[in-house]
Amino acid sequence: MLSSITIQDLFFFVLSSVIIFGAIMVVSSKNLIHSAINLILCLFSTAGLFILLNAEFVAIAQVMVYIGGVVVFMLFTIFLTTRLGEEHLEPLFKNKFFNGTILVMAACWVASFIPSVIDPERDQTFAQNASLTEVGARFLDLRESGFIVPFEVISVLILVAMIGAIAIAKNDNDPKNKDEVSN
Amino acid sequence: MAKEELAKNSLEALKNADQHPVGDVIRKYFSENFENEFIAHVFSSSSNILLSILVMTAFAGGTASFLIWLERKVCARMQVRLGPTRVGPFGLLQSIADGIKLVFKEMLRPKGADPFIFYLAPFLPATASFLVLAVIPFDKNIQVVDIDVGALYVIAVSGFGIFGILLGGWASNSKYSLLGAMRAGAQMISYEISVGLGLLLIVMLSGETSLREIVFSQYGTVNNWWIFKLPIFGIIAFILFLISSTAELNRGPFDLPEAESELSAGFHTEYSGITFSMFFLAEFINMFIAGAIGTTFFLGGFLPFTIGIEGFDNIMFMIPGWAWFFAKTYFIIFLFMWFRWSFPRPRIDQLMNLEWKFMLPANLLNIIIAGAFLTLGWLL
Repeated sequence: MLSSITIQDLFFFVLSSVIIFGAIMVVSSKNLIHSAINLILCLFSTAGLFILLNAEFVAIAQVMVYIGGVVVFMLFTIFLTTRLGEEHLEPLFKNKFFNGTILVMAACWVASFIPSVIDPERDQTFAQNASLTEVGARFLDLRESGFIVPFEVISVLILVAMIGAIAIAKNDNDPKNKDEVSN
Repeated sequence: MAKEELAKNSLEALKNADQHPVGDVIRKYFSENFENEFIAHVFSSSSNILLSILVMTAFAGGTASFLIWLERKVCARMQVRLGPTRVGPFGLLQSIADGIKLVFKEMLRPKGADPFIFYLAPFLPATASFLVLAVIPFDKNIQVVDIDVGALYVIAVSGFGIFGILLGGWASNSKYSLLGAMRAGAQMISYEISVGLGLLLIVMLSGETSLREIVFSQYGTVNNWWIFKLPIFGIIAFILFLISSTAELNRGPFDLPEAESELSAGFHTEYSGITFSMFFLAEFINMFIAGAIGTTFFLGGFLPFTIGIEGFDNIMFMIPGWAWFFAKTYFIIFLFMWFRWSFPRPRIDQLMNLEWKFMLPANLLNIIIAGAFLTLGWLL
């Protein structure tokens, strides 16, 4: 039994336990900063899982977008809104029966996927490693297999969000911004 | 054709160079004669990794202490002083003495600081720098791992170092630290964009994302280095890269996060002993990495300085690739030090204006122009 475990399996079990541990810590920690740090751990291990699946580009994108972007943004938000050591966070829903029902339903939904995953007749070989050139060509492919429409829609969406953020932040009419230090 | 001897210094000969000359010698002494197959399997898979980690740890420590000595010497010479002279020849052992002092100092934690984050934060920037060292091609056959998405990896992982600064500044529970951390965070996030765009420009031109392949795309004479191959705009791109990486390193003249006259020491005000030295170590390794990335992307990496005359080129090829790599890297590092001790520090709003109103549009414009040059075939 022991000799049949490859190093990939070993890494898979280590990474999945880290992800589960991190995820539990994210939701159970009362300090928001600790939650954010555990989220980093969780996302980083997920990137590790992507590397095990030979999806290097997805792993790098995971680190770049989620860790380098989303969590940094979360940290800034927490720094600007909460005080150190503040642990008076109240749960949104206090009804234990309601929360328990939701949890059990979610668990059942996840468990319904288990039979299809452990099906022994399922193709269990690792995906081939796609080079970055192939990934990029697929994104800009005009044919049916390409992803040009979602790619462009996301680009426009991000542009709109950026212009909107600048418009909100600018706020020229506010008299408080008039006495700014000029260059 | 296949039997034909490859020319000694041709591109194919360099690409097919023996990949593990040092590792094979060391690995020979650790033969895999284990009773248990599983342990043998794990050992053979992990011996490369362990060896690389060992070498990179020693390299990072040595480089950081050498750079601290170099910084003090360069600073002293620019101010008509001598710098460290007492410990060892030319004061070379000064950083080691300082390191020993720092290790034995007491680690102080301010009252009310969050202990977990306070002690975790110093190790994050050092981890990020370590991870980037793994993909840097020191020579044609000296590189820990050559991943396909190397350029993106460098951008992604170097963004990881920002957490140490943000968390360290916040967990110190001091206003100076928090102000320094917020400034550092804002500055690094902003200038990361410019560094990333500068690297993506070269990725676009060479069509490669592996750092080793990017170096080989500059094979030929000195005109084939990306700084000269893209006429005029290559030099502009290099200057933009130098400015933005100086700012991303939080080095002078952009050292606002630790502006001594305003914030005492910025985000590491409350750190002492080994925790402080971890921040310091990361800062100096990051400077080496910025130099190495600049060398790899713009200055031809480990390729020698050749001008197309055969006799001259052959002499240049006799100098090993790692010597060229380190010479170019230390040239860029010297430029960083030169900046630090020559320019006054801008204000924080001037710094942000420089990035968002000048550097970012300039970089985008540069990418558009380079794309036009590439399609028109105007590369040298």
